[in-house]
Amino acid sequence: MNERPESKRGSVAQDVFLGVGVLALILALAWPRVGQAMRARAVAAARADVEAVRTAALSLWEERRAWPAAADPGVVPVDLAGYLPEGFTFQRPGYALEWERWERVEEPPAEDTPNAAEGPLDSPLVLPRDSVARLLPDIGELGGVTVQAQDARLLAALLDHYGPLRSFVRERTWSLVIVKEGP
Amino acid sequence: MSAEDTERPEPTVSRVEDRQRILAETLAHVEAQEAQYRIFPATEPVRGRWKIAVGSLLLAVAAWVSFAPPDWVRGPVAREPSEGDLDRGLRAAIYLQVQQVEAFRLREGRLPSDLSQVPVRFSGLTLVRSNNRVYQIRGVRPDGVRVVYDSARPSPVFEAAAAGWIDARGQP
Repeated sequence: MNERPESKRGSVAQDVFLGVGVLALILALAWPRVGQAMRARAVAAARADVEAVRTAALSLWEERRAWPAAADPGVVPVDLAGYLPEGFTFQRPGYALEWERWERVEEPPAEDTPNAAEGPLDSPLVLPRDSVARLLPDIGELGGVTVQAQDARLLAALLDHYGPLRSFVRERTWSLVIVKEGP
Repeated sequence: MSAEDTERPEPTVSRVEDRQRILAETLAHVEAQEAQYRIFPATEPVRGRWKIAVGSLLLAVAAWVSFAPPDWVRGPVAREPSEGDLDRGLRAAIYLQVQQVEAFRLREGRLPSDLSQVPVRFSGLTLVRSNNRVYQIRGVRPDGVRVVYDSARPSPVFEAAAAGWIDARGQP
């Protein structure tokens, strides 16, 4: 029996409609997972970038006993360029890295200060344990890597990874504080 | 009369009634054949109707999943920084800003007139000098609450926000 053109056309339209429905459902079910995978990838990339900068800064500190000079967001610090992977950039899709250098007033270590219980400083019998002890505060430095992003979830993920004791989030910026003893 | 004349059919003239009957039969036959192609068999729409129904149902479910995805579809939702995170971040930033001011004072022997004089300035923070020795660093939380560090009466919450890296001295 010959297929009738109108009948065939109607059947194809129904098949196409059914196929569109199946495709739409698959996409609707898969889209959240795709979004999660993309976010996880972005977070992993940001963490890797932060680690690269942190490692480079620590390497430089080991050599020079000083942090590299700060630079604007998205700009690779000149001092740091040689310690970063080839072609490393601070401007990434979705976020920008920044190297910071913060000053910090460091009080003398407690073990260097004279103990009040041992007596006054001018006592001939009681001397500080270290005659060249540092009694005045000094200016030290903290290193810092910041990530500026519009995606607040990325910043929260970085905060969760590095913890609130080493990092903090403010406005659209997450900052990691890197501490090293002074020279 | 010859034999040839007897075998040749005698020409006759058809009658009008016969011609009309044959024409009517022919037209009826053609009409019947055309009708077979023109009209769908009664079973055709019934056979494909389930596809329309299922397709519509799938589209409806897809729309529901897209606009109001249930938890089993959405999976774990990445969180945003909480108010506590942002509050602690503001206090940490104020503490770091205080450190910049104190370092400036230690180096210059005076307070800066404003935060543009210190090497690092956090956005949204302001320096208010009470006198030559006392100052405040002020910031505002996202909910509008003002957070103030007073150098005359420094609150331990600012140092607590920085406790992690204060305690981490010497750690890589």
